[in-house]
Amino acid sequence: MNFKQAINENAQLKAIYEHLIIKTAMGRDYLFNLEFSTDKDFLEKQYKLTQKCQKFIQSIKDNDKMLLECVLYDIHNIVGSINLLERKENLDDIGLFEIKAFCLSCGQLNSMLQNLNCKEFVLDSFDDIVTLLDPEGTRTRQFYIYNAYNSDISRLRTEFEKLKQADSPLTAKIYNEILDIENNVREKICTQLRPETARLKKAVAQIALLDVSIAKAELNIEMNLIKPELNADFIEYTKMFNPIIKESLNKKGKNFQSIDIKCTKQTMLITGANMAGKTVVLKTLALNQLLAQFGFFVASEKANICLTEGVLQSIGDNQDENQGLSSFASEIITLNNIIKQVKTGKRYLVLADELARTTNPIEGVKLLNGFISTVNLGNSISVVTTHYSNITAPCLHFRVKGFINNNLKPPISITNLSDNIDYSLIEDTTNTTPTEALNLCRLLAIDEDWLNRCE
Amino acid sequence: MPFISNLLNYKSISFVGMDKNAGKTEALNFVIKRLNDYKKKISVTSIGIDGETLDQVTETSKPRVFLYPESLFITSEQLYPKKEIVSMVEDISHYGTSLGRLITSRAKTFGNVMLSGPTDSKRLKELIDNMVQCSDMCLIDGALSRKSFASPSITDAMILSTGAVVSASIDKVVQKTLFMYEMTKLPEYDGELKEQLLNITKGVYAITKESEVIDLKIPSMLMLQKYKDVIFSQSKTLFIPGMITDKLLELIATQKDKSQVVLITKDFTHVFSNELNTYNFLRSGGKILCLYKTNLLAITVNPVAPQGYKLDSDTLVGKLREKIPLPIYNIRDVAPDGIFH
Repeated sequence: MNFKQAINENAQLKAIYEHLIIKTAMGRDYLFNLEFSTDKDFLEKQYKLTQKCQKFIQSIKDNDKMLLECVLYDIHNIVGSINLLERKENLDDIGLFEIKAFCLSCGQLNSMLQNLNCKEFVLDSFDDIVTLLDPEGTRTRQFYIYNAYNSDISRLRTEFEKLKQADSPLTAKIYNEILDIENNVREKICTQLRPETARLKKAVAQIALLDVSIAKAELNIEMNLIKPELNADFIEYTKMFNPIIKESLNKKGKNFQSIDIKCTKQTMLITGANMAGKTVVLKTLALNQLLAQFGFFVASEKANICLTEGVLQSIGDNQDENQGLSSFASEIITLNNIIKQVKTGKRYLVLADELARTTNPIEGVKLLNGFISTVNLGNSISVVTTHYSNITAPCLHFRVKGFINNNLKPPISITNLSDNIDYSLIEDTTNTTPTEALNLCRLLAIDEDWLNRCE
Repeated sequence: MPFISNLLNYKSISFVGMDKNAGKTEALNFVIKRLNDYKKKISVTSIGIDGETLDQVTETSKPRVFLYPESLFITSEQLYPKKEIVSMVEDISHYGTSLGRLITSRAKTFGNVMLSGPTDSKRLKELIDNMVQCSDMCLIDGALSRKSFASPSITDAMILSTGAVVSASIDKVVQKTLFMYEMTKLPEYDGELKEQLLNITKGVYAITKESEVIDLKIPSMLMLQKYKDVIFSQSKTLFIPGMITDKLLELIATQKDKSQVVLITKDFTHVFSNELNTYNFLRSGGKILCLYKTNLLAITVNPVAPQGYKLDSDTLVGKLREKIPLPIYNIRDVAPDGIFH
């Protein structure tokens, strides 16, 4: 799975991507083609580079940062032109302009980086190519087949202008001659450029990496993301938070309560009242795992995690009436696919929200027990939330603390309600689930007749 | 021609035709030539895809834009190679249009080029701002087309081309041109929401007394019949970034308090309703306001229609001059010498 596919599948990762300021087309290509990585060395390298970039970004003045961004924004993507050259085709003026502009930008970028003491990125010098594409030595970003390339061309051009003014019928002939010479010159230039494609490609890759690393570093600063340790066979976060939800809460002047969590091979079962943030825990675990394995930092104060083959989720209603599936059937199919993957023995991160919630509680509990026992057989790390009691399958049972204030008077708005919930996870030995749904309904001031008839 | 000296007061000028083959490109070429006599450095581009050799609608040949050395021109990747001129690539846009990215280029010799430019007002405005900095004057080959979201009225001034292509009857040509002229005189909307409205490109919006902009969720003016009950549910003031159609005005005509209705649109080129409906609406007290005010400087007349007939130039120009207080010329009369290269 590459990054582009991942952002289409995970809305939160997409939201993170939208915060990422990628400045060049090659940076975007590089990011989109990044694979979900299980290679620890590769990821550690990426993390290190991001850390260095972060230090670099924090060390330079805002003004320099802006200039650097301007240079990056202005870099043309020359991958298409390089491919044409490699296929032994010739470039037109537009392609040659782009190569020249790219080489000039590289020079500008390199001297800027060296002045700012950035040792991570040293770009090749392309003075030779610039000279080739700038025979008149103007060092400006423009290109055409200069008169200096060929002695005939300047003569013909003068002649062409004279004929054109006289509206002579010979203009077309002369113009064609000019075009022929221009094409010959282009061919010669391209022949000289062809051996340089490897160097140009390397520079494109370097710029892509620089662009993405700076974007990641800026994201880390903006969202307070930290480097995860990859030394565990479990997943442990201290003060984990969801950066997307945190941001929207902060905008409303509210805080996001971060939580501590440790997931191991033994399935973790989370219960808790409605609105207690169980789904957010699952979504955040998924997001952080994806971030870490695409080489990003994670949303937590401390993180020690293991790498997985993938994140398998059953979160939300997948009801698909077009395929004739009820929400129950579609959930079961999703879960069954998860079981199939888990049974391969590889380590996945399995996240299931309110498993089997759309059927009757008697059979629902059976399905849940069966799922947990089966998943426990594999090597995956799984977290399941539920409202059901009497879970007999072996699991670590946690509960969201829930309401901290029992003296709340209805009606209370949903936003105020969240202020009165403690979202932290505590170990639960009771094997029952909190029955706070009616209480919650009371606080939300639902219809009195309805409420009375519930009791 | 006297109006050329008027042009020198403006930094950007658009050329708009009443119809295809109304002589818009001729007018543009004429102005380019005269500005060259004044030693003015110009830059040119187009809205959308104009300047094809064959007019895509009527398949008659179209003159290309003739440039002088050191003029800047902006066109798309696909049309750039169709030039008959030696020119230098100066910049390439990072965004694309349907004909590829935009190439900014400098003419090194005389010759013809084909123009193509951005299709939305925001990009066009950015481009004009840049062009104005790099040249004395910026000329836009504009379109009066439903396909274009970009408003030619972004420019400081405008030249309108009309002619026999509009109708075979001189009186009809005069009537339609007069209508167009009056539309350019529509008052400007200068409320606090202007900046916000400029960024909206489609839909229909109600603007309440409290200056709230409410999306009426009407996908297109062409589907108005289905949304009859919605249209005035929020306010009598509507913002219509697409087009003001006959259907809309006919619907308004049946309303009880039609005199209260205010329609806001981007510029006069978005008024697609016919003369009868539009005059009726305005006469009944309704208002049409434009976000961009159009400063129409002159009208050019082409008495020859691509269908093959020719109107009497002097009568046509004379009748137009009676009704419209602007410089009005048949460019072929004014400059019979080599403007067609």
